[in-house]
Amino acid sequence: MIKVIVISDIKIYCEGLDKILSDTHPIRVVGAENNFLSATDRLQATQPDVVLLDMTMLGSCRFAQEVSQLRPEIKIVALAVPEDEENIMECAEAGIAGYVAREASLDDLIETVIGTQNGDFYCPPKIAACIFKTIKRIKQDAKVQRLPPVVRNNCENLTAVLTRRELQIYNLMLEGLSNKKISHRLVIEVSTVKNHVHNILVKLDVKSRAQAVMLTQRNSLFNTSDRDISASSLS
Amino acid sequence: MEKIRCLIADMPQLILADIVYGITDDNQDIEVVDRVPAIEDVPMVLSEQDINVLILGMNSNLSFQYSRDIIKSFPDLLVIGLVDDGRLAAVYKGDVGREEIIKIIQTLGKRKKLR
Repeated sequence: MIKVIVISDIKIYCEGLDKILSDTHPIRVVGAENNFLSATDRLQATQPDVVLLDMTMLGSCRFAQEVSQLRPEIKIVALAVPEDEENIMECAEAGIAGYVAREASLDDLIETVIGTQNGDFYCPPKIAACIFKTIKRIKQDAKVQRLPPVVRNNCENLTAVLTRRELQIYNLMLEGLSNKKISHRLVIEVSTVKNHVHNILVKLDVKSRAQAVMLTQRNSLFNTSDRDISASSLS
Repeated sequence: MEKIRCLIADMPQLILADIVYGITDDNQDIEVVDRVPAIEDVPMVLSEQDINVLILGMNSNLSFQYSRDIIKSFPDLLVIGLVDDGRLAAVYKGDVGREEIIKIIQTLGKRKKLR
């Protein structure tokens, strides 16, 4: 049996879920509380497996965090998480183990409770997309933070830092072209390309092509007019 | 004893709809006859089946407007409106007289004394 405590300050949800989940195998509702004080007492008294927590309650994230830290063996399933990035990430950081939207059905909720207890992760697609998008952004931010400060600070002044030819070559570097291919594209010597690449790296204060490319990917340095610089325009 | 026949309508928050269905259908005096996703479906169901109570999700201004039209067409119908987060409810009944109002107040108005 999966021992569940329902926590919601909305009477119909608290009472309704208590009643319905009690009739659902293999769930046994060991508490239905409408405030965190009584919920804490109930947690200590009943040793639940899962807490079903209404995230519209004020202080729900903090409560989830405290439960996660003090009782990590208890799995928390979040009900009705407000679907904005800040709330979603706050829930993720608080240690929520499963998510149920209000638009989900009771069957979805039951499946989530059972699955979460079994170690599976249930999450509506919209919330999952938000979490992954935020993780990606955090990773990209972390990469940029590892770049030298002068590079980060100069990001918006790139077109003032590089010459027109250097911008052109930099653009081709972003496309992944090697020095040889750049030389073919621009009809110049490979040695000339190497000189320009060297100058670009010095001006951007980076140690490698990869760092220079990463800088642009994160900060979208070029406007359209710069990217459209072609070989013919320099002849 | 004849059961009170209910229709649940226009509750996109399925958990709330399932809860309402679960707690009403479990009562021996109450029978949930049908569930429809949109308020626009209600008049057809009401015309085809004998419904005593409409439990309606009050999700939009449309709900209120439709409720008024439905009550006009079906004056014996009791409409219970639930706001989608489950916090608020309203009761609509057509053609209420003094006795009906007193009964509603007596049934729903009892609560603990205020300090």
